[in-house]
Amino acid sequence: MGALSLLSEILKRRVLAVQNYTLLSARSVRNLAGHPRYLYDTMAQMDIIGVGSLPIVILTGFFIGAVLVLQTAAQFMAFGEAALTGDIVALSLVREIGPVITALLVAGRNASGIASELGSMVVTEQVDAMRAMGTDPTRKLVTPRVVATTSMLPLLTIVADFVGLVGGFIVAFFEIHLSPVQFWTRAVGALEFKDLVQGLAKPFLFGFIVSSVGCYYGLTTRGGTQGVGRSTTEAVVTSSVLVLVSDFFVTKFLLWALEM
Amino acid sequence: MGAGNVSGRGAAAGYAICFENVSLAFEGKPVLREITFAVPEGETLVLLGESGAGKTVLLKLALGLLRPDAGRISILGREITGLAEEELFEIRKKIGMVFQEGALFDSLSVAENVAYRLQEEGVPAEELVARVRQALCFVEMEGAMVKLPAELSGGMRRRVAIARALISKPPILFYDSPTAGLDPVTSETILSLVLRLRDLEGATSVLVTQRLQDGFAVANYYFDREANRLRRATGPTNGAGGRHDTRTIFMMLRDGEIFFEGAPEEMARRGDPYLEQFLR
Repeated sequence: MGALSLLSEILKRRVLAVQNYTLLSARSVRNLAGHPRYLYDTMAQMDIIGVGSLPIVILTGFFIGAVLVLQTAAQFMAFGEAALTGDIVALSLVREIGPVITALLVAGRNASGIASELGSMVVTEQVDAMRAMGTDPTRKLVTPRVVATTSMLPLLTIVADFVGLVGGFIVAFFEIHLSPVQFWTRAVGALEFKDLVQGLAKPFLFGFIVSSVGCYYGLTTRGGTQGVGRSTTEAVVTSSVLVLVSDFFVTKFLLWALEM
Repeated sequence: MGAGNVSGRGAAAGYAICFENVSLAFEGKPVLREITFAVPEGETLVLLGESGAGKTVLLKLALGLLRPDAGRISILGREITGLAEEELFEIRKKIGMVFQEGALFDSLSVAENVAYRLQEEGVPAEELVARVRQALCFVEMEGAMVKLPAELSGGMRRRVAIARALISKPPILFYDSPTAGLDPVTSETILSLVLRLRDLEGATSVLVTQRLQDGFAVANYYFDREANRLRRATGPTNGAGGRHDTRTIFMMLRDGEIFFEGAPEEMARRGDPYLEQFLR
């Protein structure tokens, strides 16, 4: 096989993968319109993805808020503007760091979980068995996970934002002796409606990306247990990269739309 | 039944399963080539061949889990080749499939696995429980209702898979190597279930196996409803003589093509060196 035909083959596979991913994503949304709807499965996934991710989101959110204050306070103090610490922690957490870090945590925890669970089902023919019994796996397996992740990620992001602010306040209080009134007045006052819109719109998209990518890699698993491991890794890497790349474009779009 | 008997668009009528010139390749490598056969309703097809001959692929094509590159497939008189995935679900409800390793849902209990199809169909809870119990009694697994598949032996998993396949009383049953990797006693139990299902429910069956003795067991034994036990179908094969007609045909695949198709005794008579390897 020549280099050109090899390149062409690789490109074809990539295009096919994008096409299949797009079709799977579209079907997962289209399934919302018809029957059957797997409400119990959706609730179970909400519990696994939402409640299950809560401890890690709280822990990480707290320390991210805390370290933000550590990093920025020294700079602001040099200019005699220590009170601005509340502004910067609130704005960066709500607009950017909260949604992105929460999405990355959920990608690491749940995109991998989804991909390995569905991948194991594929290699043990459980998905084929499901299809053979007249069940649509995109309805039974994909849509509940997409709905659960897309609805839970915004809630997890709100928790991460709040806990991050608490972490930031504690460090500000003990390290730079900022009073609670100073910190919280500045932090809350700095936030405008458009910041909240930005911070809450992104998690919906990130949730969709994380879950649909996890499902795609899970359902396209080939090659036994080794294939499951490969799918799991690819799901985490791809969903994390897509979260970061799409974040740029969504931010650009939201800034433009909110300015309008 | 047979390659010569199947041609034209109306050929599928009266057959439970009909393949016409079906070919399939994976990444350019042919897996099945120009496969043509038909299974009349109520008949049993024993599909033989070594590993990689295309037996499981053929079953998956019949279920619509894979799509052929060329040719037509009909199930119960309806062509499935061009159907969308959503349309195939209705066809699949008429087929019970026992996968090679059982393919039980590992997060569901035995009872939930068996009940799965009925739950999907919205069968009321009371009826569902009764039918699950009945199906598990049939395979003598009623004591394992709350167990998870991981707690079962290989033979028990196959029995549960059979119960799951028969719960909705489908007119067609596929068995993908149901005795593979099992000891002789457990294999006999599984085969007796296959025979009971065939002879009590009258289901059209396709049994995929590498073991010729499984094929001969299906061809040479039948379940006597009145005596409630298996009996040997002895005597001449004229149907009117002493032999009970088990309506079983053998088909052997080799390198993706039909190598042999005919009655079990014909296979023994042919004296082909390749077939002899299986007969030894």
